[in-house]
Amino acid sequence: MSNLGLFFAILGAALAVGLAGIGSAKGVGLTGEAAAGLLSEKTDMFGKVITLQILPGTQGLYGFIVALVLLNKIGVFSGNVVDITLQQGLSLFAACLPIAITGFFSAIYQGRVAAAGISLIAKQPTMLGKSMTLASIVELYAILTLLVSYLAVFNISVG
Amino acid sequence: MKDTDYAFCVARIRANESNLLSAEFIKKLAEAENYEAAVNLLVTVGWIDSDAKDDDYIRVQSRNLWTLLSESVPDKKVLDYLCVLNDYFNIKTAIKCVLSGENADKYYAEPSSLVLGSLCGSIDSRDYDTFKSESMRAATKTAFETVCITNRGQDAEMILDVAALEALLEIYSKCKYRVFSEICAFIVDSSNIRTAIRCACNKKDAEFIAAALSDCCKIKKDKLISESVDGVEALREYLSTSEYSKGAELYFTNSALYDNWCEKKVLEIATGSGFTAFGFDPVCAYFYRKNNEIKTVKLILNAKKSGIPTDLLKERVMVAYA
Repeated sequence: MSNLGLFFAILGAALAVGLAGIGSAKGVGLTGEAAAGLLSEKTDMFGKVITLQILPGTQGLYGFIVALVLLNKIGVFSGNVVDITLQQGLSLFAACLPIAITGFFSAIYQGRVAAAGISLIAKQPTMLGKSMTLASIVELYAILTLLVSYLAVFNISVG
Repeated sequence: MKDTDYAFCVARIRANESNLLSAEFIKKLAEAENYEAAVNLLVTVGWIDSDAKDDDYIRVQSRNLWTLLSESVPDKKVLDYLCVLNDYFNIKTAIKCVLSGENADKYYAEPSSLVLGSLCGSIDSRDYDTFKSESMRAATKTAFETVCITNRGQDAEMILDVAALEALLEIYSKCKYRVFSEICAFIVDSSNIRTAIRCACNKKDAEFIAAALSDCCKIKKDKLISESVDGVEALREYLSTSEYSKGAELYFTNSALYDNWCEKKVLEIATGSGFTAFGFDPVCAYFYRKNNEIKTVKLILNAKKSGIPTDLLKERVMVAYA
Protein backbone atom coordinates (compact mmCIF):
# COMPACT_ATOMS: atom_id res chain seq x y z
CA MET A 1 0.00 0.00 0.00
CA SER A 2 2.86 2.38 0.81
CA ASN A 3 4.22 1.94 -2.74
CA LEU A 4 0.89 3.04 -4.16
CA GLY A 5 1.10 6.21 -2.05
CA LEU A 6 4.55 6.91 -3.45
CA PHE A 7 3.27 6.22 -6.95
CA PHE A 8 0.53 8.84 -6.62
CA ALA A 9 2.93 11.39 -5.17
CA ILE A 10 5.34 10.95 -8.06
CA LEU A 11 2.45 10.94 -10.54
CA GLY A 12 1.42 14.32 -9.11
CA ALA A 13 4.93 15.68 -9.60
CA ALA A 14 5.04 14.29 -13.13
CA LEU A 15 1.71 15.90 -14.04
CA ALA A 16 2.69 19.24 -12.51
CA VAL A 17 5.86 19.48 -14.51
CA GLY A 18 4.51 17.60 -17.57
CA LEU A 19 1.17 19.29 -18.20
CA ALA A 20 2.36 22.79 -17.32
CA GLY A 21 5.42 22.14 -19.48
CA ILE A 22 3.34 21.00 -22.46
CA GLY A 23 1.13 24.07 -22.09
CA SER A 24 4.18 26.31 -21.98
CA ALA A 25 5.75 24.61 -24.98
CA LYS A 26 2.54 25.16 -26.96
CA GLY A 27 2.26 28.79 -25.84
CA VAL A 28 5.89 29.62 -26.48
CA GLY A 29 5.74 27.77 -29.81
CA LEU A 30 2.72 29.75 -30.97
CA THR A 31 4.29 33.03 -29.89
CA GLY A 32 7.53 32.00 -31.57
CA GLU A 33 5.73 31.43 -34.86
CA ALA A 34 4.18 34.89 -34.69
CA ALA A 35 7.56 36.35 -33.72
CA ALA A 36 9.21 34.71 -36.73
CA GLY A 37 6.50 36.20 -38.97
CA LEU A 38 7.20 39.66 -37.65
CA LEU A 39 11.00 39.27 -37.73
CA SER A 40 10.87 38.17 -41.37
CA GLU A 41 9.66 41.69 -42.17
CA LYS A 42 11.19 43.79 -39.35
CA THR A 43 14.44 42.29 -38.13
CA ASP A 44 15.05 45.07 -35.58
CA MET A 45 12.06 44.00 -33.48
CA PHE A 46 13.79 41.01 -31.87
CA GLY A 47 14.22 42.72 -28.48
CA LYS A 48 10.51 43.47 -28.32
CA VAL A 49 9.15 40.10 -29.41
CA ILE A 50 11.40 38.05 -27.14
CA THR A 51 9.82 39.62 -24.04
CA LEU A 52 6.41 38.51 -25.24
CA GLN A 53 7.62 35.05 -26.20
CA ILE A 54 9.00 34.41 -22.71
CA LEU A 55 5.67 35.02 -20.95
CA PRO A 56 3.90 31.69 -21.68
CA GLY A 57 7.04 29.85 -20.57
CA THR A 58 6.56 30.66 -16.90
CA GLN A 59 3.83 28.06 -16.30
CA GLY A 60 6.30 25.29 -17.08
CA LEU A 61 8.63 26.81 -14.54
CA TYR A 62 5.88 26.94 -11.90
CA GLY A 63 5.08 23.26 -12.47
CA PHE A 64 8.77 22.49 -12.18
CA ILE A 65 8.99 24.33 -8.83
CA VAL A 66 6.03 22.40 -7.38
CA ALA A 67 7.49 19.10 -8.63
CA LEU A 68 10.87 19.91 -7.07
CA VAL A 69 9.31 20.77 -3.71
CA LEU A 70 7.30 17.55 -3.78
CA LEU A 71 10.24 15.34 -4.78
CA ASN A 72 12.37 16.98 -2.10
CA LYS A 73 9.64 16.39 0.48
CA ILE A 74 9.42 12.67 -0.21
CA GLY A 75 13.19 12.36 -0.11
CA VAL A 76 13.94 11.56 -3.74
CA PHE A 77 16.94 13.92 -3.83
CA SER A 78 18.50 12.69 -0.61
CA GLY A 79 18.10 9.06 -1.63
CA ASN A 80 16.01 8.24 1.47
CA VAL A 81 12.51 7.96 0.10
CA VAL A 82 10.05 8.23 2.98
CA ASP A 83 7.15 5.83 3.53
CA ILE A 84 3.97 7.38 2.21
CA THR A 85 0.47 6.12 2.89
CA LEU A 86 -2.07 5.94 0.10
CA GLN A 87 -3.97 8.83 1.67
CA GLN A 88 -0.82 10.98 1.82
CA GLY A 89 0.08 10.05 -1.75
CA LEU A 90 -3.36 10.98 -3.00
CA SER A 91 -3.22 14.24 -1.05
CA LEU A 92 0.08 15.15 -2.68
CA PHE A 93 -1.34 14.13 -6.06
CA ALA A 94 -4.38 16.37 -5.53
CA ALA A 95 -2.14 19.22 -4.41
CA CYS A 96 -0.33 19.12 -7.76
CA LEU A 97 -3.50 19.29 -9.87
CA PRO A 98 -4.12 23.06 -9.69
CA ILE A 99 -0.79 23.99 -11.26
CA ALA A 100 -0.90 21.01 -13.65
CA ILE A 101 -4.33 21.81 -15.09
CA THR A 102 -4.36 25.60 -14.89
CA GLY A 103 -0.73 25.74 -15.97
CA PHE A 104 -1.56 23.73 -19.09
CA PHE A 105 -4.51 25.84 -20.19
CA SER A 106 -3.27 29.25 -19.06
CA ALA A 107 0.02 28.81 -20.95
CA ILE A 108 -1.86 28.05 -24.17
CA TYR A 109 -4.21 31.00 -23.76
CA GLN A 110 -1.36 33.27 -22.74
CA GLY A 111 0.44 32.15 -25.89
CA ARG A 112 -2.55 33.21 -27.97
CA VAL A 113 -2.69 36.61 -26.29
CA ALA A 114 1.07 37.09 -26.66
CA ALA A 115 0.96 36.05 -30.35
CA ALA A 116 -1.89 38.48 -30.95
CA GLY A 117 0.22 41.07 -29.11
CA ILE A 118 3.04 40.44 -31.56
CA SER A 119 0.64 41.13 -34.43
CA LEU A 120 -0.33 44.32 -32.62
CA ILE A 121 3.24 45.58 -32.25
CA ALA A 122 3.89 44.59 -35.88
CA LYS A 123 1.48 47.38 -36.81
CA GLN A 124 2.14 49.69 -33.87
CA PRO A 125 5.54 49.14 -32.22
CA THR A 126 4.68 51.54 -29.36
CA MET A 127 2.03 49.11 -28.07
CA LEU A 128 4.54 46.68 -26.53
CA GLY A 129 3.68 47.70 -22.95
CA LYS A 130 -0.03 47.22 -23.51
CA SER A 131 0.51 43.88 -25.25
CA MET A 132 2.57 42.69 -22.30
CA THR A 133 -0.05 43.85 -19.82
CA LEU A 134 -2.78 41.94 -21.66
CA ALA A 135 -0.70 38.75 -21.70
CA SER A 136 0.34 39.21 -18.06
CA ILE A 137 -3.26 39.21 -16.88
CA VAL A 138 -3.55 35.55 -17.92
CA GLU A 139 -0.46 34.89 -15.80
CA LEU A 140 -2.36 35.88 -12.65
CA TYR A 141 -4.30 32.62 -12.65
CA ALA A 142 -1.18 30.55 -13.06
CA ILE A 143 0.37 32.38 -10.10
CA LEU A 144 -2.71 31.74 -7.95
CA THR A 145 -2.59 28.01 -8.67
CA LEU A 146 1.16 27.94 -8.11
CA LEU A 147 0.57 29.36 -4.63
CA VAL A 148 -2.18 26.85 -3.86
CA SER A 149 -0.18 23.86 -5.12
CA TYR A 150 3.01 25.02 -3.41
CA LEU A 151 1.35 25.67 -0.03
CA ALA A 152 -0.58 22.39 -0.18
CA VAL A 153 2.48 20.29 -1.06
CA PHE A 154 4.56 22.13 1.52
CA ASN A 155 2.07 21.61 4.33
CA ILE A 156 1.03 17.99 3.77
CA SER A 157 2.78 15.85 6.38
CA VAL A 158 4.45 12.67 5.13
CA GLY A 159 6.34 9.82 6.72
CA MET B 1 -6.53 23.69 -40.18
CA LYS B 2 -6.67 25.63 -36.90
CA ASP B 3 -6.77 29.42 -36.89
CA THR B 4 -3.61 29.52 -34.75
CA ASP B 5 -1.72 27.85 -37.62
CA TYR B 6 -1.87 31.31 -39.18
CA ALA B 7 0.18 32.93 -36.36
CA PHE B 8 3.29 33.36 -38.52
CA CYS B 9 1.28 34.53 -41.49
CA VAL B 10 -0.85 37.04 -39.59
CA ALA B 11 2.15 38.62 -37.84
CA ARG B 12 3.87 39.00 -41.22
CA ILE B 13 0.75 40.46 -42.78
CA ARG B 14 0.30 42.92 -39.88
CA ALA B 15 3.90 44.05 -40.30
CA ASN B 16 3.14 44.72 -43.98
CA GLU B 17 -0.13 46.48 -43.20
CA SER B 18 1.85 49.31 -41.63
CA ASN B 19 3.50 49.85 -45.04
CA LEU B 20 0.22 50.40 -46.90
CA LEU B 21 0.01 53.88 -48.39
CA SER B 22 -2.00 56.31 -46.28
CA ALA B 23 -4.88 58.40 -47.60
CA GLU B 24 -2.72 61.52 -47.10
CA PHE B 25 0.02 60.06 -49.27
CA ILE B 26 -2.48 59.12 -52.00
CA LYS B 27 -3.77 62.69 -51.92
CA LYS B 28 -0.21 63.98 -52.27
CA LEU B 29 0.38 61.54 -55.12
CA ALA B 30 -2.74 62.72 -56.93
CA GLU B 31 -1.53 66.31 -56.51
CA ALA B 32 1.89 65.50 -58.03
CA GLU B 33 2.83 67.88 -60.83
CA ASN B 34 3.30 65.19 -63.46
CA TYR B 35 3.99 61.49 -64.04
CA GLU B 36 7.70 61.73 -63.18
CA ALA B 37 6.96 63.58 -59.92
CA ALA B 38 4.42 60.89 -58.96
CA VAL B 39 6.93 58.11 -59.67
CA ASN B 40 9.59 59.93 -57.63
CA LEU B 41 7.20 60.16 -54.70
CA LEU B 42 6.59 56.40 -54.90
CA VAL B 43 10.34 55.77 -55.04
CA THR B 44 10.89 57.81 -51.86
CA VAL B 45 8.52 55.61 -49.85
CA GLY B 46 9.98 52.42 -51.36
CA TRP B 47 6.82 51.50 -53.25
CA ILE B 48 8.77 51.54 -56.50
CA ASP B 49 12.28 50.18 -56.80
CA SER B 50 14.47 52.91 -58.32
CA ASP B 51 15.81 50.36 -60.86
CA ALA B 52 12.34 49.18 -61.94
CA LYS B 53 11.31 49.52 -65.55
CA ASP B 54 8.55 51.85 -66.65
CA ASP B 55 5.08 50.22 -66.77
CA ASP B 56 6.32 47.31 -64.71
CA TYR B 57 5.55 48.89 -61.33
CA ILE B 58 2.02 47.60 -60.99
CA ARG B 59 2.81 44.06 -62.11
CA VAL B 60 5.77 43.91 -59.69
CA GLN B 61 3.57 45.00 -56.79
CA SER B 62 0.89 42.42 -57.67
CA ARG B 63 3.47 39.67 -57.90
CA ASN B 64 5.13 40.75 -54.62
CA LEU B 65 1.74 40.60 -52.92
CA TRP B 66 1.10 37.11 -54.21
CA THR B 67 4.61 35.95 -53.27
CA LEU B 68 4.10 37.27 -49.74
CA LEU B 69 0.80 35.41 -49.38
CA SER B 70 2.10 32.19 -50.97
CA GLU B 71 5.13 32.15 -48.68
CA SER B 72 3.13 32.85 -45.53
CA VAL B 73 -0.22 31.05 -45.75
CA PRO B 74 -0.03 27.56 -44.20
CA ASP B 75 -2.84 26.14 -46.36
CA LYS B 76 -2.17 27.03 -49.99
CA LYS B 77 -5.60 25.82 -51.07
CA VAL B 78 -7.30 28.84 -49.51
CA LEU B 79 -5.37 31.11 -51.85
CA ASP B 80 -7.34 29.58 -54.73
CA TYR B 81 -10.43 31.18 -53.19
CA LEU B 82 -8.92 34.60 -53.80
CA CYS B 83 -8.34 33.75 -57.47
CA VAL B 84 -11.85 32.60 -58.37
CA LEU B 85 -12.93 35.76 -60.21
CA ASN B 86 -9.56 36.11 -61.96
CA ASP B 87 -9.67 32.44 -62.99
CA TYR B 88 -13.01 32.79 -64.73
CA PHE B 89 -11.97 36.10 -66.25
CA ASN B 90 -8.86 34.38 -67.63
CA ILE B 91 -10.96 31.56 -69.11
CA LYS B 92 -13.10 34.16 -70.89
CA THR B 93 -9.94 35.88 -72.12
CA ALA B 94 -8.47 32.59 -73.34
CA ILE B 95 -11.66 31.65 -75.21
CA LYS B 96 -11.71 35.05 -76.93
CA CYS B 97 -8.03 34.77 -77.85
CA VAL B 98 -8.39 31.19 -79.14
CA LEU B 99 -11.18 32.35 -81.43
CA SER B 100 -9.47 35.56 -82.53
CA GLY B 101 -5.96 34.09 -82.73
CA GLU B 102 -4.54 36.86 -80.51
CA ASN B 103 -1.87 36.37 -77.85
CA ALA B 104 -3.67 36.19 -74.51
CA ASP B 105 -0.66 36.77 -72.23
CA LYS B 106 -1.06 40.52 -71.95
CA TYR B 107 -4.76 40.29 -71.11
CA TYR B 108 -4.60 37.78 -68.27
CA ALA B 109 -5.45 38.89 -64.75
CA GLU B 110 -3.09 37.89 -61.97
CA PRO B 111 -3.06 36.12 -59.55
CA SER B 112 -4.66 33.01 -60.97
CA SER B 113 -4.72 29.39 -59.88
CA LEU B 114 -4.75 28.27 -63.53
CA VAL B 115 -1.65 27.49 -65.55
CA LEU B 116 -1.92 30.54 -67.77
CA GLY B 117 0.85 29.52 -70.15
CA SER B 118 -1.12 26.52 -71.40
CA LEU B 119 -4.68 27.81 -70.91
CA CYS B 120 -5.32 28.72 -74.54
CA GLY B 121 -3.87 25.38 -75.67
CA SER B 122 -6.09 23.45 -73.22
CA ILE B 123 -9.22 25.21 -74.45
CA ASP B 124 -8.27 24.93 -78.10
CA SER B 125 -7.67 21.17 -77.79
CA ARG B 126 -10.73 20.81 -75.50
CA ASP B 127 -8.53 19.27 -72.81
CA TYR B 128 -9.97 20.59 -69.56
CA ASP B 129 -8.10 18.28 -67.17
CA THR B 130 -5.82 21.06 -65.93
CA PHE B 131 -8.81 22.87 -64.40
CA LYS B 132 -9.11 22.42 -60.68
CA SER B 133 -12.81 21.83 -60.22
CA GLU B 134 -15.48 19.86 -62.03
CA SER B 135 -17.75 22.91 -62.15
CA MET B 136 -15.01 24.97 -63.82
CA ARG B 137 -14.42 22.21 -66.38
CA ALA B 138 -18.14 21.95 -67.14
CA ALA B 139 -18.64 25.72 -67.42
CA THR B 140 -15.62 26.15 -69.72
CA LYS B 141 -16.75 23.28 -71.92
CA THR B 142 -20.30 24.62 -72.21
CA ALA B 143 -19.15 28.20 -72.80
CA PHE B 144 -16.65 27.24 -75.50
CA GLU B 145 -19.10 24.94 -77.27
CA THR B 146 -21.80 27.60 -77.09
CA VAL B 147 -19.62 30.26 -78.67
CA CYS B 148 -18.35 27.81 -81.33
CA ILE B 149 -21.87 26.71 -82.31
CA THR B 150 -23.88 29.90 -81.93
CA ASN B 151 -21.10 32.47 -82.38
CA ARG B 152 -22.69 34.41 -79.50
CA GLY B 153 -19.92 35.53 -77.21
CA GLN B 154 -22.35 37.14 -74.79
CA ASP B 155 -23.91 33.75 -73.98
CA ALA B 156 -20.52 32.23 -73.29
CA GLU B 157 -19.60 35.16 -71.03
CA MET B 158 -22.87 34.75 -69.17
CA ILE B 159 -22.23 31.05 -68.55
CA LEU B 160 -18.78 31.77 -67.14
CA ASP B 161 -19.94 34.75 -65.05
CA VAL B 162 -22.67 32.65 -63.44
CA ALA B 163 -20.18 29.81 -62.86
CA ALA B 164 -17.78 32.26 -61.14
CA LEU B 165 -20.54 33.47 -58.82
CA GLU B 166 -21.60 29.91 -58.06
CA ALA B 167 -18.01 29.09 -57.15
CA LEU B 168 -18.03 32.03 -54.72
CA LEU B 169 -21.39 30.84 -53.40
CA GLU B 170 -19.89 27.45 -52.69
CA ILE B 171 -17.01 29.09 -50.81
CA TYR B 172 -19.57 31.17 -48.88
CA SER B 173 -21.44 28.06 -47.79
CA LYS B 174 -18.40 26.04 -46.72
CA CYS B 175 -15.82 28.65 -45.66
CA LYS B 176 -15.42 28.95 -41.89
CA TYR B 177 -13.74 32.36 -42.08
CA ARG B 178 -16.40 34.97 -41.35
CA VAL B 179 -14.95 38.00 -43.12
CA PHE B 180 -14.07 36.13 -46.28
CA SER B 181 -17.43 34.40 -46.55
CA GLU B 182 -19.14 37.79 -46.02
CA ILE B 183 -17.09 39.22 -48.88
CA CYS B 184 -18.07 36.27 -51.10
CA ALA B 185 -21.75 36.77 -50.22
CA PHE B 186 -21.51 40.47 -51.00
CA ILE B 187 -19.80 39.93 -54.35
CA VAL B 188 -22.41 37.32 -55.37
CA ASP B 189 -25.40 39.46 -54.38
CA SER B 190 -24.06 42.75 -55.73
CA SER B 191 -23.16 41.13 -59.08
CA ASN B 192 -26.63 39.60 -59.35
CA ILE B 193 -28.23 42.95 -58.54
CA ARG B 194 -26.16 44.60 -61.28
CA THR B 195 -27.25 41.94 -63.79
CA ALA B 196 -30.90 42.11 -62.71
CA ILE B 197 -31.02 45.90 -63.13
CA ARG B 198 -29.44 45.66 -66.59
CA CYS B 199 -31.95 42.97 -67.56
CA ALA B 200 -34.84 45.06 -66.27
CA CYS B 201 -33.60 48.12 -68.19
CA ASN B 202 -33.30 46.04 -71.38
CA LYS B 203 -36.67 44.34 -70.78
CA LYS B 204 -35.28 40.80 -70.88
CA ASP B 205 -37.64 37.87 -70.35
CA ALA B 206 -37.74 35.63 -67.26
CA GLU B 207 -35.90 32.76 -68.95
CA PHE B 208 -32.96 34.96 -69.92
CA ILE B 209 -32.79 36.57 -66.48
CA ALA B 210 -32.89 33.17 -64.75
CA ALA B 211 -29.93 32.03 -66.86
CA ALA B 212 -28.01 35.25 -66.20
CA LEU B 213 -28.33 35.12 -62.41
CA SER B 214 -26.71 32.74 -59.98
CA ASP B 215 -28.30 31.78 -56.69
CA CYS B 216 -28.03 34.58 -54.15
CA CYS B 217 -26.99 34.73 -50.50
CA LYS B 218 -29.02 37.40 -48.75
CA ILE B 219 -31.65 38.21 -51.36
CA LYS B 220 -34.05 35.91 -53.19
CA LYS B 221 -33.22 34.94 -56.78
CA ASP B 222 -36.87 34.21 -57.62
CA LYS B 223 -37.93 37.62 -56.40
CA LEU B 224 -35.12 39.31 -58.36
CA ILE B 225 -36.31 37.55 -61.52
CA SER B 226 -39.99 38.32 -61.07
CA GLU B 227 -39.40 41.99 -60.16
CA SER B 228 -36.97 42.42 -63.07
CA VAL B 229 -39.62 41.08 -65.46
CA ASP B 230 -42.15 43.51 -63.94
CA GLY B 231 -39.87 46.42 -64.79
CA VAL B 232 -37.30 48.82 -63.38
CA GLU B 233 -39.63 50.47 -60.85
CA ALA B 234 -40.78 47.14 -59.39
CA LEU B 235 -37.17 46.01 -59.04
CA ARG B 236 -36.20 49.34 -57.49
CA GLU B 237 -38.95 48.99 -54.93
CA TYR B 238 -37.92 45.44 -54.06
CA LEU B 239 -34.25 46.38 -53.70
CA SER B 240 -35.13 49.35 -51.50
CA THR B 241 -36.28 46.85 -48.85
CA SER B 242 -33.04 44.85 -49.00
CA GLU B 243 -29.75 45.54 -47.25
CA TYR B 244 -28.35 46.61 -50.62
CA SER B 245 -30.83 49.49 -50.95
CA LYS B 246 -28.21 52.27 -50.72
CA GLY B 247 -26.00 50.77 -53.42
CA ALA B 248 -28.90 49.82 -55.70
CA GLU B 249 -30.22 53.37 -55.55
CA LEU B 250 -26.78 54.59 -56.66
CA TYR B 251 -26.94 52.27 -59.69
CA PHE B 252 -30.16 53.93 -60.83
CA THR B 253 -28.31 57.28 -60.69
CA ASN B 254 -24.99 56.20 -62.20
CA SER B 255 -23.62 52.67 -62.62
CA ALA B 256 -20.05 53.88 -61.91
CA LEU B 257 -21.18 55.07 -58.48
CA TYR B 258 -22.54 51.59 -57.79
CA ASP B 259 -19.18 50.02 -58.72
CA ASN B 260 -17.43 52.45 -56.33
CA TRP B 261 -19.91 51.60 -53.61
CA CYS B 262 -19.25 47.87 -54.10
CA GLU B 263 -15.49 48.34 -53.87
CA LYS B 264 -15.83 50.41 -50.71
CA LYS B 265 -18.23 47.92 -49.19
CA VAL B 266 -15.78 45.02 -49.74
CA LEU B 267 -13.06 47.05 -48.00
CA GLU B 268 -15.48 47.90 -45.21
CA ILE B 269 -16.21 44.20 -44.64
CA ALA B 270 -12.50 43.46 -44.78
CA THR B 271 -11.89 46.07 -42.06
CA GLY B 272 -13.82 43.75 -39.74
CA SER B 273 -10.78 41.47 -39.69
CA GLY B 274 -8.96 44.10 -37.61
CA PHE B 275 -10.49 42.41 -34.58
CA THR B 276 -9.43 38.91 -35.62
CA ALA B 277 -6.17 37.68 -34.13
CA PHE B 278 -5.62 34.54 -36.22
CA GLY B 279 -6.97 32.69 -39.25
CA PHE B 280 -7.39 33.53 -42.92
CA ASP B 281 -9.50 36.68 -42.48
CA PRO B 282 -6.62 39.12 -41.83
CA VAL B 283 -4.84 37.67 -44.89
CA CYS B 284 -7.87 38.09 -47.09
CA ALA B 285 -8.44 41.63 -45.78
CA TYR B 286 -4.85 42.57 -46.57
CA PHE B 287 -5.25 41.11 -50.07
CA TYR B 288 -8.23 43.34 -50.81
CA ARG B 289 -6.68 46.44 -49.20
CA LYS B 290 -3.38 46.00 -51.05
CA ASN B 291 -5.20 45.40 -54.33
CA ASN B 292 -7.15 48.59 -53.76
CA GLU B 293 -3.87 50.43 -53.16
CA ILE B 294 -2.34 48.98 -56.35
CA LYS B 295 -5.43 49.87 -58.37
CA THR B 296 -5.44 53.42 -57.00
CA VAL B 297 -1.76 53.99 -57.78
CA LYS B 298 -2.30 52.55 -61.26
CA LEU B 299 -5.20 54.96 -61.78
CA ILE B 300 -3.12 57.94 -60.63
CA LEU B 301 -0.12 57.05 -62.79
CA ASN B 302 -2.31 56.51 -65.86
CA ALA B 303 -4.10 59.80 -65.19
CA LYS B 304 -0.78 61.61 -64.86
CA LYS B 305 0.37 60.10 -68.14
CA SER B 306 -2.84 61.23 -69.86
CA GLY B 307 -2.75 64.69 -68.30
CA ILE B 308 -6.12 64.40 -66.53
CA PRO B 309 -6.75 67.50 -64.32
CA THR B 310 -5.64 67.05 -60.69
CA ASP B 311 -8.96 68.14 -59.18
CA LEU B 312 -10.92 65.57 -61.17
CA LEU B 313 -8.40 62.86 -60.34
CA LYS B 314 -8.38 63.73 -56.63
CA GLU B 315 -12.14 63.57 -56.48
CA ARG B 316 -12.25 60.11 -58.08
CA VAL B 317 -9.30 58.72 -56.14
CA MET B 318 -10.24 59.96 -52.69
CA VAL B 319 -13.72 58.48 -52.98
CA ALA B 320 -12.17 55.08 -53.60
CA TYR B 321 -9.31 55.34 -51.12
CA ALA B 322 -10.78 57.24 -48.16
